[in-house]
Amino acid sequence: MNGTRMFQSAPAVLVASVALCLPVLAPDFMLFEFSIAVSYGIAILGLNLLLGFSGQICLAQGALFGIGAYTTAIFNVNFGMDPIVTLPFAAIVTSLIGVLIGLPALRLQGLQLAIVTFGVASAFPQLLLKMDSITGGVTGLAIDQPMAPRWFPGSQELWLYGLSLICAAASVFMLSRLLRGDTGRLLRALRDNPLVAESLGVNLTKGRLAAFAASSALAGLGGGLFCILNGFISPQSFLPMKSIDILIGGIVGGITSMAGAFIGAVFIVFVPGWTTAINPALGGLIYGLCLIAMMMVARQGIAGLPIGRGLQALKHLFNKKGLSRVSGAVPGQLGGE
Amino acid sequence: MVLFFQLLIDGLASGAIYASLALALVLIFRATRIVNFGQGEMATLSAYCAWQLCEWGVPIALSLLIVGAASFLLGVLVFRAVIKPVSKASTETVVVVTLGLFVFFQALCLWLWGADQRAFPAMFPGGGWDILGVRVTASTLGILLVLLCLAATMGAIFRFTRLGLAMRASAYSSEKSLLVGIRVERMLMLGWGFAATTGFIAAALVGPRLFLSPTMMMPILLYALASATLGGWDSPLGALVGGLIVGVAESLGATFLPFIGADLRVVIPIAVTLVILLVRPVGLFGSSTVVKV
Amino acid sequence: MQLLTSSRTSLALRAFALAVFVAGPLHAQEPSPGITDDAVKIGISGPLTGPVAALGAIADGVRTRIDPINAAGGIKMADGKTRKIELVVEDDGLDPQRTLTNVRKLAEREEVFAVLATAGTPNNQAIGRYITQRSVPNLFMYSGVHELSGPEWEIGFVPSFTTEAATFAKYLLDNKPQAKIALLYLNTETGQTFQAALESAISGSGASIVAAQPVTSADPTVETQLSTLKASGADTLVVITGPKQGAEAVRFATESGWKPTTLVSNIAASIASLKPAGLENAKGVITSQFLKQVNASAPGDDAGVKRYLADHAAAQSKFSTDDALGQSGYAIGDALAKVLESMKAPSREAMMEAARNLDHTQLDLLLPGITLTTKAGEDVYPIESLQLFQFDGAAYQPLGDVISFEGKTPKH
Repeated sequence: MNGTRMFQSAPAVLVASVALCLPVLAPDFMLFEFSIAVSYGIAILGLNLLLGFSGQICLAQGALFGIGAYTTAIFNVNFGMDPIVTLPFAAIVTSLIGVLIGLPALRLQGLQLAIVTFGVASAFPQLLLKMDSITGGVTGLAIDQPMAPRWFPGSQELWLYGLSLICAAASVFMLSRLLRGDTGRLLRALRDNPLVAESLGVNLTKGRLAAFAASSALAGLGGGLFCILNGFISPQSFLPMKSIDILIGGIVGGITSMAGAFIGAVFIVFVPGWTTAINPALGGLIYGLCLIAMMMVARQGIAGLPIGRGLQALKHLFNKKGLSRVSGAVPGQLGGE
Repeated sequence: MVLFFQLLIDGLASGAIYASLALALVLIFRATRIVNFGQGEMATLSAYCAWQLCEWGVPIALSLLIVGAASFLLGVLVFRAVIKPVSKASTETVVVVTLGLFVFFQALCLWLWGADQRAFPAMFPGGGWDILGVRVTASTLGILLVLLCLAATMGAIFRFTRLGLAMRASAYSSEKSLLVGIRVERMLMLGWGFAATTGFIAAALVGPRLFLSPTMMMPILLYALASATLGGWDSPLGALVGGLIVGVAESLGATFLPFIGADLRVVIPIAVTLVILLVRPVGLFGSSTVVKV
Repeated sequence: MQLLTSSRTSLALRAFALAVFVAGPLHAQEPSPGITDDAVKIGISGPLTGPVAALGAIADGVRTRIDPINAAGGIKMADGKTRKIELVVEDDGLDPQRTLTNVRKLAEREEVFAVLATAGTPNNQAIGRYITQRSVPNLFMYSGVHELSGPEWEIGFVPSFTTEAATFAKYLLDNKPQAKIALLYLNTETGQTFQAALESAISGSGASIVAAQPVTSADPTVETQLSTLKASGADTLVVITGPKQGAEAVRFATESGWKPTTLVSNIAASIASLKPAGLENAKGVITSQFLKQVNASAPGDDAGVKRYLADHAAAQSKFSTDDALGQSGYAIGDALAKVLESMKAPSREAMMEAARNLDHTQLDLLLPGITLTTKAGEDVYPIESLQLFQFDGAAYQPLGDVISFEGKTPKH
């Protein structure tokens, strides 16, 4: 059993090791791109929680991401707070708004929830423009970028990358704590069979709202980090397509996998650039085909690819011992449980 | 007062546009239980083909017929190439595949015809009538009429014919339908083909109004989704009514509600949809499914 | 113990800083990156894919101008060397965050000499801090709103929307001093700048804005806004929106029986954009231009236009010859060539100095009478003149002379 666990957590181990080796291998501007990917990854983590673990489709993740970013910016510009200190506030404010969105969600079924939340995502940039006294409207907001402290040996990019990794680690830690306990079981019950759960006395309302709150907090944290990394935000960065990108990132990475969230984030940050680099005229076409092909090859996302099982099969080749295994994902499995 | 009625008519005209795409979405949902986010872009591609044929001198009626048939084949092709392989996978996987279709077809139109907007040949005569200061165009009435017939036909086929029953059954549960002897794959194929043709008809109806461009259907998508949700995903007639309600609400709300104004008008379809869903969760004309626990 | 260590560290840091300081001026004499004896590398970040890929024509237009220069051996610069211009183009989908990533990539991996023709106001704002920190020239931005957040290293190109608003205002004050104006504006910085400028240009006169309706880029149709504008009783319609809404407005203005005097901003008034609305409906529409009219079938005998058409055919450009965005790109490429020629030294500082001191530089596609003029410290806007044109059903005909607002663009 121990061996199986190890192989099941293969994606997580892979992601973690790549993340740590990156500063050595990648030049500064690539570290910047990876930091951006990490910030998206945290938001996708929130989506995984909501969609993968609790079965609720929320297409407003991009708008919540934007709320986190703007909270950080507004706190920094209006109250002079250090951007890093604003991050918890960004998470909390976004969490509250997420619960507000979750309230009508209690009455809505899957597809309807998706459409209403997509509507929220569509309205978000216009709201930003309308409330221009707070948000700076079209001009956007520029914040003071936190400089690396003097004792730090590396570059500014490395410092920001380290910050991103710390935020990501914190998110993953908090999420796994959340999922391990009662709340986690509650959420899984919510996804797999809400009727049975309710008849057994599970409080689904609390579960749903908790899921929204946690997912939005993560989106807000990611957004705040995004703002810090860029130093400037404007409504143009938070169009409805951003929510769709986050959704794509989540599903391509593996919607029930925490490592998948970050894999998916890397996908949405880097792959569009690669497909355009292959052929500028056909860039969009290739990206569309890429998405389709990805889903045909990796039904459960990249993290769902049997890397673990592949390695295990390799091990069997040497041991020549056959083990009977239940094929397919065990309900409630996540990378690392 | 005149403004009010004018906006009402304008709302019906926009509503007809939303309803047309909503109809195609509802059709594909009813037939396959999938929401195809790429429906609008597939329709745009067909519209471009029709436009190109007209540019080459083919008379418009013939172009529409040819492309109508071709779009049926396109739907079938997309189903067999892309959807069937992932049909056993989870909903999320299919969602990303349809998003991939969205990106692909939009980029395809952009590549083949460029970004400039074009004039799509009009099917209805221009001009209209001025009734007490309110202008009603012939094309608006024409579009509404065609949509009504389309929705009624679709609804009738699904409700009253064996074919419709078979299609609905295949969408609802493919395994059980196979057991009963329904050729599930054929039904799904038909569903996609019909949906693609309906999408083309929708694009041809609204093309003259919206100007043909690769991103023609993109702003419509959200409104169409809201309309379908409002009307109930089970009902073609609901899609039509939903579209009209969304159009009128948005038109009147944007002008007469100053705190929303024209720049926040996208809030209105969502708010209206939400309100109606809270009162009637399956949508206006939707039918609730009874689930045996 | 700890105190000693920290003071030793800070001493070391201070010594290092001093060394850098001393070495600093020496570094300034080293050549800037991206330029060698044979080539100069220029980077462009623009939307090549996605819904706004139309703006990608700008990058293609730049290439159309640069290709023949390279084919002829390169551009002859002031230090005597002839260099080829290497263009590196990256896609950003108009997302400001991706623009920043691309510009970083261009500056750090490709080591370009300068960045050119960055499209979009928020995109230029997003990269402002970075290019100032790294001293990378951001030449000839494609944005009608010049938020010069990094004025030492940035320079715009297209006329500010305040200039266009002032031009329209002048026409109205001259020809229709009691005009009741209905304004259809894009709710971004473009529309807001234009609206504010129009209001201030007509303030104190008999003309007034009686109704203003915002348009978002996500609106499916703008019928609602147009009906509301018509109901306000205005007799003049001013449109500052994208091409799609502009065409709708033009069609509505005629078909609804309203028939106001219609002025449309040049971002929405190209013939290709208006054609779907019906050229008959577009008759009488007034717009402003700074580029020459290009009619591929009847080029006339203007040398600049002929050269543009020849270059376009040779470079097999993907945009059509009458695409205003492609033409703007071509003009920007032209401006780049002029700046490269007049640079006093092969360094970034010299490039900015040349760009900020343009003395009535002529370009092939600029209307006669319109030139690039800047002066460091006083005038940072290259083009501040426009000419009005009126559509006669088939082509645009000039309406009056070039109106110059040289030196009058207000600081943002």
